[in-house]
Amino acid sequence: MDTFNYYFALVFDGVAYGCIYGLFALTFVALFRANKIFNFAQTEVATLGVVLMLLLLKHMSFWSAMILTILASFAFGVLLHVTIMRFLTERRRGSHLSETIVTIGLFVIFNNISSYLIGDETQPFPSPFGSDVLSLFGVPVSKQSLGIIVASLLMTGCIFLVFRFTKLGLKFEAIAENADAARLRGIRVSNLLAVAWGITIMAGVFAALLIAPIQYVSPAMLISFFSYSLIAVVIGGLESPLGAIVGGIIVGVVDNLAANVSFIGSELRFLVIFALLLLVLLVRPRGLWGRAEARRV
Amino acid sequence: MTEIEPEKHKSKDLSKRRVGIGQRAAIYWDYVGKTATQTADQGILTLAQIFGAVASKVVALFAGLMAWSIDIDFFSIRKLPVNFLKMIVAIPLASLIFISSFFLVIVGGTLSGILGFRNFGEYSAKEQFLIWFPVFALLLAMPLLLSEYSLYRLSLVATYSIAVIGLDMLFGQCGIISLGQGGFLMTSGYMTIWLVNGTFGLKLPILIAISVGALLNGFVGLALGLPALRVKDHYLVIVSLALSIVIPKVFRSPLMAPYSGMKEGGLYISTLEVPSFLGKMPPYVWKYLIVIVPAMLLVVIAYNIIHHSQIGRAFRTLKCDREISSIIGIPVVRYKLFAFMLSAIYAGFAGGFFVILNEFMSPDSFNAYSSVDYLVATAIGGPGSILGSIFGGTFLAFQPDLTKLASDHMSGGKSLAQAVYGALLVITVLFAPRGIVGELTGRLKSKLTGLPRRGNFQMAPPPDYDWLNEKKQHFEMN
Amino acid sequence: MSELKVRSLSIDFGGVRALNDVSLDVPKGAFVGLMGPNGAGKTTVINCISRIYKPVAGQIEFGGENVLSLSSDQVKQIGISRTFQDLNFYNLMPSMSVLDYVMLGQFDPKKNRFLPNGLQLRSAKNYERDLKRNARKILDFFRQAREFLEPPQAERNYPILMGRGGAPDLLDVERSPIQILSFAWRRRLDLARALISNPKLLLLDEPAQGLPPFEIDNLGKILKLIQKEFGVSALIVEHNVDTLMKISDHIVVMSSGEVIAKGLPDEVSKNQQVVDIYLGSGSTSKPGNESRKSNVRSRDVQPVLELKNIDMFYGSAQALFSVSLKIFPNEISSVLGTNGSGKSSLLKAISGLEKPAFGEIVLDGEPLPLGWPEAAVARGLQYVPQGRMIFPELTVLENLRIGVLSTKVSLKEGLEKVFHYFPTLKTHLKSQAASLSGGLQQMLAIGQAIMGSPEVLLLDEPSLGLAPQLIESLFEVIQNIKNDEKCAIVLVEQNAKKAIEMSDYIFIFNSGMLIAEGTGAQLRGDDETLKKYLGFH
Repeated sequence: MDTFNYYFALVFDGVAYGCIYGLFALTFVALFRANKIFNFAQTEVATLGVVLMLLLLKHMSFWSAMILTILASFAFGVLLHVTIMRFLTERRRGSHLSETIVTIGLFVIFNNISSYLIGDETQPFPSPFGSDVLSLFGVPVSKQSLGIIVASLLMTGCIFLVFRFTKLGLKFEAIAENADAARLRGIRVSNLLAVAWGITIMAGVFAALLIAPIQYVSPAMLISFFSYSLIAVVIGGLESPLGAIVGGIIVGVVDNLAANVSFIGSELRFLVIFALLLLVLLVRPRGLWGRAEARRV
Repeated sequence: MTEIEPEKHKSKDLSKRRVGIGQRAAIYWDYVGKTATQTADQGILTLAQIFGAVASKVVALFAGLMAWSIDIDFFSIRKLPVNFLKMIVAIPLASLIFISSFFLVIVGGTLSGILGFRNFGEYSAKEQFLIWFPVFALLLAMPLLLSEYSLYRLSLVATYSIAVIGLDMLFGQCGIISLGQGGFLMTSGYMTIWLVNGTFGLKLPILIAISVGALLNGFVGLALGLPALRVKDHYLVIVSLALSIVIPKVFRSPLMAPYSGMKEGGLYISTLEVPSFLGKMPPYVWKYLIVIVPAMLLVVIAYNIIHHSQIGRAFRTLKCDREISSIIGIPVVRYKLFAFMLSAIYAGFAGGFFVILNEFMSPDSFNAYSSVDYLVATAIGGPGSILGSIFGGTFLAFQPDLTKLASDHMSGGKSLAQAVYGALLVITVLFAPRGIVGELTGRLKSKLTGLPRRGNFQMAPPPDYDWLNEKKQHFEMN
Repeated sequence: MSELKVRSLSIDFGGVRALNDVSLDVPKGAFVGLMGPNGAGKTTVINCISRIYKPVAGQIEFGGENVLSLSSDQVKQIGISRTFQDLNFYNLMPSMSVLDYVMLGQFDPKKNRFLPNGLQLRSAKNYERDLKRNARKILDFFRQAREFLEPPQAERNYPILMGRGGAPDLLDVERSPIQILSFAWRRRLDLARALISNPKLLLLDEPAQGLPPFEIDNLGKILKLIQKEFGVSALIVEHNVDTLMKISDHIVVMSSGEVIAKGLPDEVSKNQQVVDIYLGSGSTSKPGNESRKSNVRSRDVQPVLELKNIDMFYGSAQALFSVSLKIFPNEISSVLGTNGSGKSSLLKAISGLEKPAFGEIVLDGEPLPLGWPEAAVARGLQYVPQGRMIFPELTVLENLRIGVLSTKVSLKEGLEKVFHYFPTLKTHLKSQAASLSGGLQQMLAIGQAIMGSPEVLLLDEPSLGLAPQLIESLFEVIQNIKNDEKCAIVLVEQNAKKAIEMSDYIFIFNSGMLIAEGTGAQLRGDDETLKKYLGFH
């Protein structure tokens, strides 16, 4: 029974991490579908959001700080599109190379702004969930992990509802399928892309806030999340939101299990995930739910 | 039916364009430079002419930058932020370039002044030898001119430049992004140390050790590139980033710790002995030579591949359009893979040079952030040009000093300085997509040769040729 | 003895059979012209040979090799060279000079060795030198060919490098970057690039498109010269029927994905079926047509849409030359002309999908911002593009919901209107748009556009790819829309006769210029004049 509890806890915590990877992966996929841009700065902006919250916490209560941070992150996403990304999309050059490079540049900028604001030392972050252990159907699970899973699933659910059942979501679908046709139907693509940026940045910050208590806050806190969620995108398929979430959970569980196998330990766990990445690329390159490439070059 | 009168088909004449003040200034400066180089072309070399040619190059470079910054449309509100940026960024940037490229410009300017200004790739083999030779001779003579510290600096520039050139062949020529330089540098660095120290029983001379390290990188590049590039270029970014993260972790792990010097803080290379036939050469000079001579060779190889071979042309076509390249006959995946392997191999050599210079490597030496730095350097310097990559390498070599300067004067200055580098990347991509060196030399070339730069070219029909006269013969008037 | 054998080639694109059982031959040394109206599938055939597309059925054999088992680059290596229709990628090519580009044509992966090139060993240097020499030889061929061409006087005003005068030859600008070549010279350069590897078969994809008239004649002469000097065979896709007839030894005519005629140029041009597909079917003397034509174009009525001196470029090719016209309300105006004449470009410019370089568009008396489709839609201008841009993965209902998004009409009202004109859509509400037949997709596309009661409706080749009976009913619906909705309809149609039949006003375009307009009364029943206007001899 103890071994079962032990492994269940591992898997459960793995799912919790996986939900966060999945949430980040979802933001990558959502933005890529709408805008054909890969936002490499996503996790660094999310880190910046956590830093903001930490600074706000000096002046106000937890929940007011959180609400303010979430709103600010939406605004920031819109700002990013309006000031920088818009010009690149509208230039309509052949490849999307420049846009990707710009997001890499933003990665550097935001990473360093975070370290300017709070220095390089790790800092703690308060958790709304507390660190006790609950009993779920007789099995002990950490309240923290449960909270993370529930909250991230809620956020995913909200995003899903917005995209599926609102006019906004319909417009996003249209843009994702055929941006020109969408413009011909009167959809103001530029405005909507700004909203898309706002939503994805907001979701990213939300995910970071959820994981901050466990991960502790530092400018480099999300770098491994960044790579894990990118791998989740590959596993799930670049264009599939569902794939992103499932991919994230797979990565989270495998990673957590691997870390606890004795000879792998906490450094080589990444090697296992790396091997998983290569395996997926060799065996099923388009990912679990990805679309098969029409062209062959 | 009514026929439409032919005159009604005349379109606007695009050949007349407004020439701004800045452009005029640049044109005058360039005229000076052009005259100087043209006289030099005739083969009569006087000291005054050489000096004039050199000075004209420096001035022209400077003038190009100023022309760009002054080329401001004062009446355009839309362009206001751009213009503001130009004024704020261009002038300090001009000073920075002036200082840091002075060395290169003097040498290059002298020679192009002697040989006449043309596209570098158009010089014949004899002329190229004339160009390379003095540069190499100068570099080999450096130990006589510079102090130990400056020599170390110069070798560091060479090392970083090699890694940037490798990345440039992938990114600047083919248009594929890789975040793997950090991982590759560390792999070959450790391999070199192991082979020189004889950690695993095999002990090799230094240069062969470096080459083996580089070749190993090539294989890693092949293994990683193939699954990724088959599918999408984006996946290569992900795979290479994962590499840069996983390699340091592997070296930090308990499995590898004894071999990576984890506990001691790093692994040291055994002392390099100066070979007996070189007599009383101080070790630091020997180190410099071991780095600079292969580096020069690598630069020449890269240059030849890019500018004088079908391979370079194929790379550039790949950057433009994959499908078209394929129709022209280029095996796309194979060449993409080849470019990636090249970037890995060059990074491999750079890693080897790094451990020679620093005699030391630890799992903290490189990481994912380093890879990003290399990409930044490539994009800022000039994707697609060797000179630009060397500029990028110089930038990387002096970056820690600039950062330290900032952090000494300001708390948190280090982070701010690095944030500025990121901002520099964004600005470069938005306003100077060919990199700083690329943009300036591009504008310079276009002003001198009179050809337009690039961009959306539009063509007006010839103003006085009336095509419709022909058409009219086909119809009967109603 | 054939070199290229295409047998029973079929391919599907999104529910439409783009090629159906297509077979043709290109004998050694022969020039075969492939012609047909828009949507016939000509470029699709070429793309299948180039292995850009993968057919669902059929074989392609070349010199004994099975082409369908090769990749695109291998196709080139076995001796099939191709030119490109859209040469705007030249603008994106980093650092490629004219000579470089021609040298690229000789690309042979087996000869590119890394170290010899890197170290510029003798073998590599010699190879480069040979490449350069071959490139110069080909360009020299083109220079000598100019002896047989249109007098240089014409070319003096048609510069090789944009923005500069003089007419040097390609050899004189061999070091210039390819970006700055003007359009006609780009075509020649592309041809040089294709020829330099001494191919056995040339695939020419619309080589005359975008060229001014005298250049098209020159092209014909150059191609004849090439056939003589190089002994190469060619498959030429071209819309310009004149040129194609002059240079081809055989002609293959396609329509709607099928081969409908094959033979010598003379036979084919007299083939009534062929003439029909170009002029369209339909009798031009339906009773009661004359009475429908009212004198709407009196001075009192204001035009609902007016274009003033519109110039439009695609990259370096000019698509519209100073076009001015007026569209009046409550009329169907048709735009006729062969392909490449600028019909689609006109609609794209009006709708805002492409931005004209010069000129003005006035809608309802107010100027329309150029290049902003959203603005046009907001002001009541709807565009249904060629190939029906609907949203394939959404359901019909969702597509229609998008249709009302930017209008003031409620979904209920909008749906009512759509079902009034296209009742069949009602039964397909839950189906995915991609699974609908071509006809239904077209109905959906038009339905989306009319939901908001637009003032001006732009229809680009609505009959493309549809079965004949559907076309009849579609045109009826279009006329009903005009009558009931009181909107102005601008119709681009390949089916010229049909368009003349149902239109109130006609615009005829040629090579990007509006060359004639009128009520079309004179054209009814007069096939010869119509042929002349459309450039079909």
